[in-house]
Amino acid sequence: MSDSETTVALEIKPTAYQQQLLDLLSSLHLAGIQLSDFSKTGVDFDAVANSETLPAAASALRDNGFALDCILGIDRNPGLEAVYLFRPFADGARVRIRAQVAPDRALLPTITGIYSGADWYEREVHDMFGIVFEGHSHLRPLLLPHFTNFHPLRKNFHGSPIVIPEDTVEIPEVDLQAAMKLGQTDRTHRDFFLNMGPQHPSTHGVLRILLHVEGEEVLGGRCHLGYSHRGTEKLAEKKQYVQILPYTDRMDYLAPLNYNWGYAALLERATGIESTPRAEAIRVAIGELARVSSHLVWLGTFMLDLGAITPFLFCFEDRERILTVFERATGQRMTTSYIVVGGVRNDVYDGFIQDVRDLLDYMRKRLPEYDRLVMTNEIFLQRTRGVGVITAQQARDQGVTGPVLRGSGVDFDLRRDEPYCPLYQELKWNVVVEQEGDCLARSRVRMREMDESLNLIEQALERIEEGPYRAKIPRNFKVNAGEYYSATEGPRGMVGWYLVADGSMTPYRLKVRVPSFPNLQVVESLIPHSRVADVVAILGSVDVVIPEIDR
Amino acid sequence: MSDEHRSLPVMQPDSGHTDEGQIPPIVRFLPLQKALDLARANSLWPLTFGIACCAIEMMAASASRYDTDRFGAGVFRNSPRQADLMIVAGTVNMKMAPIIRRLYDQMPAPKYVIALGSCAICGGPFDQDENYAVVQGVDKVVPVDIFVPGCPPRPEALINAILELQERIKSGQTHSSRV
Ligand code: SF4
Repeated sequence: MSDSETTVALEIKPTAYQQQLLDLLSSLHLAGIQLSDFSKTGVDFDAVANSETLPAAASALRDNGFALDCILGIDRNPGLEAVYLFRPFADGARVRIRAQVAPDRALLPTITGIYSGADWYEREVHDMFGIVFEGHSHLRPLLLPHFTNFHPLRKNFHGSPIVIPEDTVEIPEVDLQAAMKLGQTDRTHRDFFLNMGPQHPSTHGVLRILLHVEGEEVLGGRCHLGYSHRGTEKLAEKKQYVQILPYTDRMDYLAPLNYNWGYAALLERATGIESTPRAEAIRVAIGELARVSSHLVWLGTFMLDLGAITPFLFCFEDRERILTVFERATGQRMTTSYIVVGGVRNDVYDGFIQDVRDLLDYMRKRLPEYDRLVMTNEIFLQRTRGVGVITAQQARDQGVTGPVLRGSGVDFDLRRDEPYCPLYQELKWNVVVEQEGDCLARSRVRMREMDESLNLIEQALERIEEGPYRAKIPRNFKVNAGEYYSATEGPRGMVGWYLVADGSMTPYRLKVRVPSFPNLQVVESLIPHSRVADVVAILGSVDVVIPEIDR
Repeated sequence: MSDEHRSLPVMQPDSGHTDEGQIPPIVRFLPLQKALDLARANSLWPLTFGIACCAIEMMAASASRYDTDRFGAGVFRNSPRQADLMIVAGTVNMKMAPIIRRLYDQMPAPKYVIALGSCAICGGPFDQDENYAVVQGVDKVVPVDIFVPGCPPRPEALINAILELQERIKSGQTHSSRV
């Protein structure tokens, strides 16, 4: 398709809203504008950009209220491609813009000036594919060590190991040099650099934040990632579809069931397999339980970060009760691999419903207790109120999702707005929104979400009807060639899966758009001019899981 | 997988504190040593240090239901300088390996290491042909006393490992006590 001609190939009749968007896209000099079938591909509009039209298109989309979903790279072999996904919060219409480059001259303009959230995505694509984003202010490795000289997700890379050079036992000096530019003030004798992590109790895994501080005041900070990068996306290209499922557990280990579900939803969209009604109800019940257990860990560790030990002990005890049910139902406490294509892997045990009901009764008594213990605690309020305010516009630019977004007053929940399970449409529940956008609002959202989850579980239990728990599917199934996207709502936000299938039993490319990635990125912009202790509060309130970011 | 992947150039296991190069003490006070070992075994101070999924099970083990405090190993320290037990809970990759070595070096001797989970033992589910990032076992980086299999191991397994480690400390069979 040549870049100059603007083709509008319509397979489906557009609605008025879609027509409006089509007009917008056609006015942007994009090529290959197409309406695509959302239920099959997870994308509404397709377009192709080149380096001239890309920034203009991005800024037009931003002006029309679109948020940046994610940026990913694909090695077309030959030729590289960067794929940009945009989505407005108000109406469901995902726009995909592709930009193709040659591998030997992989240059694209940066869109960080338009969407600040593009920063890390571009760095990741640069890491993995070697596409250079011109104009990006610090295009340094994000996930890979600074001494790597290859691009692992290119197809011509075959897993030769990273070799650590002799002289890098020390934490590299280069980082410090770059960090010097962070703070706004001139370097005086009073400011210095503070390494928070990689081993730090409040970074929840191995995150390193290099803080530029002057006394107690933080002038700036930069996150260093990749300390638990495990190369899952490369591994996925060598594994059959069914074999990838266990890796999804290990990305977000606080809510593996929601990740299993996301992956199953992707494959169901790609293959057209439908899960059974019984399975859907089990999924909702157990998926919402996972959400509660994840929020409990958040509450416990957040309080631990703020200096309160008791809630941690309470929360983990409650979580153990949930894990006991998980273990009986799925066979594992954490790495469940339970929700599979077409349903669930095995039926729930007899007495599951009663066990969950008991759990609900118990949790209903516990949640008010947490409210009294934590949410009305004066110290807690002082540490969180007005700290780390994220505005709605900032959240949109950064691509933030989940409770963090809803804490900033944006009413957006994929369970309602991009239904991947019919039950969520039928059950009665509310999307929790708070307006203030500070740490307190985010905490309130999660606390109230637990309540809503309990309601959902209760209703879902009644919907567990007789019938097969899993649709009949071939053991080693193939996915027809094509590109599919599917997004589900995890406890931390939108878990998006982008699959490029080539018709074989293994994916050509599988990209996971993890919610913590933009959610952590927003932290970087919140910490300037806060106190060192606030950094801990902000980080805790955002609730990130580092191995999910690093993958 | 090539051999070069299996050995990291800069970090030989056991370098520094334990093996050659150190002159064994000329006079030993065995009863005193035994008493010290007994004390050490019963008050292990682990380092708060989790890398991935297994770390959550480590937290669960230290929380209310499993409570490693019952075995004297519940005082999680945030600074390596105050800890004598490193529980490597999670996947170690090439970017992390130098830091683990550094943390280990910062801990005062005698010090003990538990490798929790298959990732810390051998790279676990990520030890695959195409993987470029994951170190095949933390024993390439620091000397490990106890290996706990599982993905993730249950908290009981960690408790068992702590008990086993205590036995070894008392009988002088750890890397640190073999001077
Ligand atoms: S052993 Fe399994 S559970 Fe533990 S860190 Fe590795 S993948 Fe996660």
